[in-house]
Parts: sequence; structure tokens; C-alpha cells
Amino acid sequence: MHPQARPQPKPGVSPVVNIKKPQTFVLDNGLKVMIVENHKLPRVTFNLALDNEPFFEGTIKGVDELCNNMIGNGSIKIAKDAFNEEIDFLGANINFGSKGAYASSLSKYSGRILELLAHGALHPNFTQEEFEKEKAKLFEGLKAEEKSVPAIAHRVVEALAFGKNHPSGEYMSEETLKNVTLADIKKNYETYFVPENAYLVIIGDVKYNEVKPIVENLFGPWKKRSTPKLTYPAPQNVAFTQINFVDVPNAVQSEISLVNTLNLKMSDKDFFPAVMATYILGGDYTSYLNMNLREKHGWTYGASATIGSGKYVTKLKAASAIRSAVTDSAVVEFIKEIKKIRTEKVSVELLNNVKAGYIGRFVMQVQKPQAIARYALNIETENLPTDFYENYIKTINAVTPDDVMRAANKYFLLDNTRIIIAGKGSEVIPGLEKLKIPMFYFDIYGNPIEKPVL
Amino acid sequence: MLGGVASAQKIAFEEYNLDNGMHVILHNDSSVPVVVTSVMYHVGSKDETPDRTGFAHFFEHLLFEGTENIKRGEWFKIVTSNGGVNNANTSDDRTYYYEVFPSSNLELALWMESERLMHPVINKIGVDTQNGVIKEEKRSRYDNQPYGNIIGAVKENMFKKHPYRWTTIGSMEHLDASTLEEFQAFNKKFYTPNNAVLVVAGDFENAKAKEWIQKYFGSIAKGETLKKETFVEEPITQTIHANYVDHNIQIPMLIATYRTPSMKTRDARVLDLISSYLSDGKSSKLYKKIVDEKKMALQIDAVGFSQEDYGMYILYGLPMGTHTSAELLKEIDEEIVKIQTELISEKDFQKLQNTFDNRFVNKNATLEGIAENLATYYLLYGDINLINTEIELLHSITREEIRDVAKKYLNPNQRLILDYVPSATAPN
Repeated sequence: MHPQARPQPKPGVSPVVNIKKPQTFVLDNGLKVMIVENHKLPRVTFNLALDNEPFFEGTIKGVDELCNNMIGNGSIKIAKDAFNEEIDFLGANINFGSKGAYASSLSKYSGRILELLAHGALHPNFTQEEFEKEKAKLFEGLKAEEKSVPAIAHRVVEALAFGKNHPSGEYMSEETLKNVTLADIKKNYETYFVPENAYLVIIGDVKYNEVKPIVENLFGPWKKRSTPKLTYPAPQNVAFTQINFVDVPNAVQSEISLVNTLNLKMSDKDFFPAVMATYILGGDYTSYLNMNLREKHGWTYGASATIGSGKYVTKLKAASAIRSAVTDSAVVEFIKEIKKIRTEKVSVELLNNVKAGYIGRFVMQVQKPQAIARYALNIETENLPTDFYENYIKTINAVTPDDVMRAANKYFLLDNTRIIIAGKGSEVIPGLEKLKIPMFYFDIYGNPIEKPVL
Repeated sequence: MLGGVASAQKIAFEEYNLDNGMHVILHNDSSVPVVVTSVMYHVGSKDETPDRTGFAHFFEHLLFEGTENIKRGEWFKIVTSNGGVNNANTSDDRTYYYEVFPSSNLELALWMESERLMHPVINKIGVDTQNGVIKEEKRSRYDNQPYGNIIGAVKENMFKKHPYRWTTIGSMEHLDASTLEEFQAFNKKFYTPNNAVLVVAGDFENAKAKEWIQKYFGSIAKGETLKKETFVEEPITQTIHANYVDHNIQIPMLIATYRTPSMKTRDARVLDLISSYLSDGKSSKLYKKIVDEKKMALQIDAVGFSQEDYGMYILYGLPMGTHTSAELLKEIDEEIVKIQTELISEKDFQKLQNTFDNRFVNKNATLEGIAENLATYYLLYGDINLINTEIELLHSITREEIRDVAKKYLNPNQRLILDYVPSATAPN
């Protein structure tokens, strides 16, 4: 057949979107329960989520992660081995953490699994023996990651962008981990594992009327408490664009991140324009960054841009792992693409394509039980208008090329950006110096240092 | 109890062949307005020659470059602008492409996949670009990651004759040395309708789907009939000792690997149960003893690396503090000897049944998963009905079989002991 005889087919009629709501109720202690019945498969998932503010751990950084790793190893009523044995025996999974718990199970065992989840989460047994064991494992884990280039890059990006005196910028080290005591773990749990901002989302083969009294019975006695309300210094972006370099001699690629901090709530008018600008810059295969760094030059497996959103300060990050030899050239291209989205209006065609992608993914997700629950949770936790998702398609369609450019200028702070690079200094520093961008050096923990001797 | 779980999720499907030999599988599910279209080609890195490794995976990149009707760089734009998502992946045995669209775009998806098969554009610019991209993929995924080269190091020691001895991502030197004509010949040989299965799963009308499938795939010419080569490995009768130096790590890893039979065999399923018994969950034998009670390891795990011709059963652990790999191995061996000489307890046996029931239900929980499983059971297992019946097969395995299979495959002289170690100095 001749190619011309095979034109691209036109789409059919778009499916109608129905936004369902979960059934909900609230306990006196503040726990909000959301139930989405779905009887397609004989299974249930339970997700207990604590929507707490981020908090600073300081000299005992690691206490929350350690607490996270210790919760759910049995309870004060059921010994650890019997507890773990029973979960495994039922063929189920429960993951406990300091910010909640998640379980999945066949529906025939779901009653017992919910009971075990409540036991483990609400009545943890923090013992000295388990404390020592989990602490030793964390020490070992730090050591195992010591030379990991992506791990080093991640740590330094957060530390420099938010500052080490901020919950999002501090990191665990051997030193801070050493300071943590069992009493700290208990205190951390008492302070933050509270029902004030807690949600229990139940999805699957259960009946609302049957599960409601069970939840009331298990979670009703959870004592009502509030978390401390703390404030932290707002992270400051740098006054001028600069390279922050970390020498990692074993690196076979350079991890490059262009970062600035920002505040963007899901309910902000700018939310969709900002998200779309980010998507156009580095959201998928056809993004500016990927088409340049991957498809045009073949310098990387992929490049991306992500923008945080929510109630707290977050960041824009454009990043890629780049072949060492072209690190400096890649920096130039990163800057070029961010400049482009700030100064050139996106074409209507490109924007329409991006919108169609968002709408298509929404249409495909919206009727899945997980999406029904997630949307309801977002409305609660992000303080969104109740018709946020009813208006979703309309809101997306209303975004204009001007909106996108304005949002890019507001959030992609090209003149106040840190270009953080973790790579093999002896190979890449000489090239970077030729860019004439001010360059500062840091160790693998984000401490300023002199230029390393190569 | 068995009937309860098995009958709770019967995956209904219809299958037929086109005249050109392409196999078609349809699965209807109208619960969400989504349709998955996928094609699995029976070509993986095991179909490569020893001097041209990495070819199969290379095509996974190349066949997004464009076709006679889809310009270079347009593939992803068409998918996104029509509300879809897509991807592909390659293993040693097969290559898999898929699109997920709102149900209104099935015809578009079928057209795109037929374009990829009917007239892909394979030219120098695409080959050169993707060659660069893949080198960076290898650096990102393997060479710059702590413990990133485990599988490659295991494979080259476990197989002497079988192409499983090289990695899917292959050798960059081979890709550099290959000619455009070689890529085109590979495409012509393996990317044929009679070497592929097309799956449509989700919300669609059967009659309409069949009409479009005929319209877009029916006229594609049949390719040569391929005969899969067989490679028979000599049994391992003496422990293979090897080591691998990883510049990105600080803690050595113990890796013990046994060669296992094809994933299609009953013994391979028995070994899956054994793997679960040893290392699934906090109450499993190895985790509980080595990590929890004796605190000798940061982590201990066993994975079954299941494949069409042979598999591998890979046990690995990270010793803690002053403990050594040799100590871990001793503990592991004790547990294996127990499985070989005693029957596992009734309770542990029941636990395995529950675990696999749960796994079975979850395996087909998403439409994307069902589409891939239908293709895999048809193309690699040669028995599509396994999507519904494999659980019965697992339930029919006895405690005695678990003991006998452990005795047959998991002996010290049948394995590789790989010391995966940090470098003494940083590389230059």
C-alpha cells in the first residue's frame, strides 16, 4: 500500500467523564475516612496518611527515618515475630512508617489486616534492641551510598536550595544519627503520629456499612492531639546565576541540576500555567530539554524539569545526567531552553498538544478507584474548591500562551538559579570555567570549599 | 478456597490469526474508558550475534524515530496530543511496545503500531542519535549506580554458550561498529507480523476493532519463518568463583547464583515458591535469621530471574560491620540444606499458598498488566490460558516437590559465587 493511502485516523467521540466521590465520615479525634467500593477483584487496600507539616530535626536528623523504620515491628500487644508471621501468613503486605501505613490484602483477610495495621500503627513497641538494630542498618546504608553520584547530587541540591537550617535542606549524617536516642524516637512518635491531619483511605472489595463500625472501633480510641506549629526561615534564592560544583572522582556522568525555590499552591491561579510551562520545558519526550539534550545531541538518556507545588516552599528543578565531556556545553543548552520559555511565546499548536495530553490522562484516570480517592484527598489536603476536578478540563483549556510565559517568568528564576553539578572535576572543571559563570565549590555534603586541586 | 480466588478473576479473551501470521488477542473491559494497544515481538538480546550485542534494545529506541507517515520526532507528539501515553521495553527474550489512550483513539493506536511494523524509517541520523542516548542510558542505569552492574556480572559467568551471557543493553563497541545495513537487516528479519502478537485490551467494540486491525495490519507482508536457535549449557558441576569491582560502592556484596530451567517448566514454579519461602517478607527464613536475629546483614534477598530458555536464582546480601560474605553464605546454606532434607512446615506451606493467591489477584489488577500478561503467556509460554490457570498449577505443587527441586538445583557445586567488591582506589 502506498503511504498516502494510510492517513492518520481521526479520533472518535471523547468518552464522557463522571467524577465519583468516595463515601466519607469523620471520627471525633479528627481522622477522616474515605471509602471507595470496588468489587471487581477480591482485594482491598488501606492507606493511613498523616498530612503533617515538614519539621526540622536538627542535631538528631534521622530520628524520623529511624522512627519510620521501627514502627510496625509488632505492637505492645502482639510480639514482633508473631505479628510479622501473621501478616506474611495471610499473604498480605503492610508497610508502616512515621507518616502512616499502607496495607493490601485479599478481601477475605481484610478485617484482620486492618486490625493488624491499627495495632502496629497506634500501639508501636519501641524497644532498645530494635533501636540499636535499625540504627546500625542506617549507618550501613549511609556507607553503602557514600559514593553514589545521584545520591550526592540529591543531597547537595536540597541543602543548597533550601539551606541546612530548613526541614527540606537538612540531611542525615553519621554524626546526627549518632545523637538519636530511643527516647527521641518515642517523643517523635508521640508528637507527630496524631489523628489531627490523618486520613484513612479504603479502596476495594469492602462494604461501607460493614467497614465503618470496624474503623470506629479500631481508630476511635486514638487520642486527639495537635502537632506543633512551627515556622522556618524562607529559603533565599541566590542573587545571581552561579555554578555550584561538587567533585566526585568516580563519576562517569555529570549530574546537572538548575534549581530555584518557589511557592505554588494547587489553588493558585498560576497553578496550571506553571505546571504546563514546566511540562513544555521538561515534562516528556518532546519537551524543549529532552529534544535538545537527548534527541538533538545524544548527550543523555533523558532530561527533565519538575516543579513542586503544595502548601510549603518547594522548588523548580531542571536536571539531567550528562556525558562528562559535554558538561559545559549542556549547561549552555539548559540556560538556552529556560530562556526560550521565558521569552518566546509557545505556539498555540504546542500548547494545545500539551493540554490534550493532560486532559487525556485525566479522562483515563478519573474513573479508577485510586483516582477517585486521590482527588478527594487532594481537595481536602490542598484546600481546593470542591469543584476543582469538575472544572479540571475547562481550567486547562483556558490556559493561554501568555499565561504560560508569565508563569515561566514568575517561577523559573533564571537570573537567580543555582546550577549544581556533581561530576568528575578533573574532566569537567576546565570546560566549565570557560563559561565565565561565577563558580563556587562544595564538598559532597554541600559545605563550601576551595577549588579542589585536580 | 482455590476455586474462590481463581474464579474471582477470570480474564476473558478472544484470539485469532491474520493471514500474514500475526496473532491477535482481544480483551474487553468497559469499566474505565481506556484502551491499551500493544505489540510484543519475539526478539530479544538472545537473538543477537556475539559481535553485535545490544541490537534488540537498540530497536526499542529506533522504532520511535519515525515511519514513512510519521515524521521524525512526531511519534510522541501524536500520542500526547491525542491524550495518550506510551512506552516500550526489551528483555533477553522479547521486545514490547504499547500505547494507552482514551477509548476514542483505538484506531489511531492501531495505525501507529502498524506504521511501526510496516514502514519504519531506519536511517543514519536516527542510528547515530540513539547510539549516543543509549551510551548515556548505560552510564545512568548501570555504570553510575552503586551495585548497578550485578546482573551483567552474574550473566557472563553463568552462561558459556547461551546468548543470555551478555546484557540486554549490550556492548557500545558493537553498536559503534555496526552498519546501517545491519540494522535494516535485523529489522527485516525480526519485525514481521508472523513474529508478533497484537493485544487490544479495554473499552472497545469487537467488530470495529477487528475491522481496523484487518485494515491496518492485514496488508503487511509476511516475513521469513524464524527458527529459534537452541543453546544447551553444560551443567555446572563445580562452583564458579568470580569477582567484580564496582567503583561506586563501599560495602562488598555477596552474590550466589544457581542456573535454573526455563520459566515454562514446573520446576521453575517450584523454585519461585522456594524463593518466597526464603526471602519474602520479614518472617521469611533468611531475612528473619540473618538480618533480624543475627544482625549479620543490612539486606538479604533472593530473586528468580525467569526467562524463556534458562533462568537464574540469585541470592544476594550486604554484610554488616565486621561480618563477611562467607558468614552470610554459611547461614544461607544452612537454610537451603534444611529445605533439601526436611519438608517445610504445613503452616509455611499454607503461607506460600496465600502469598501466591494474593500475587495472582494483583498480577492482573491493571489493564496494562493484563495486556502484557496475555502477550507474554501467548508468545513466551505458548499457553495463553495460563493467565487464568497458572494459580492451579502453583497450588498443585507439594511440599515433597519443594524438597526435591531444592535438592536438584540448589547445591553448592552448581552455583556461581560472585564477590562484588569496592575498588581499592578511586579510578583515574
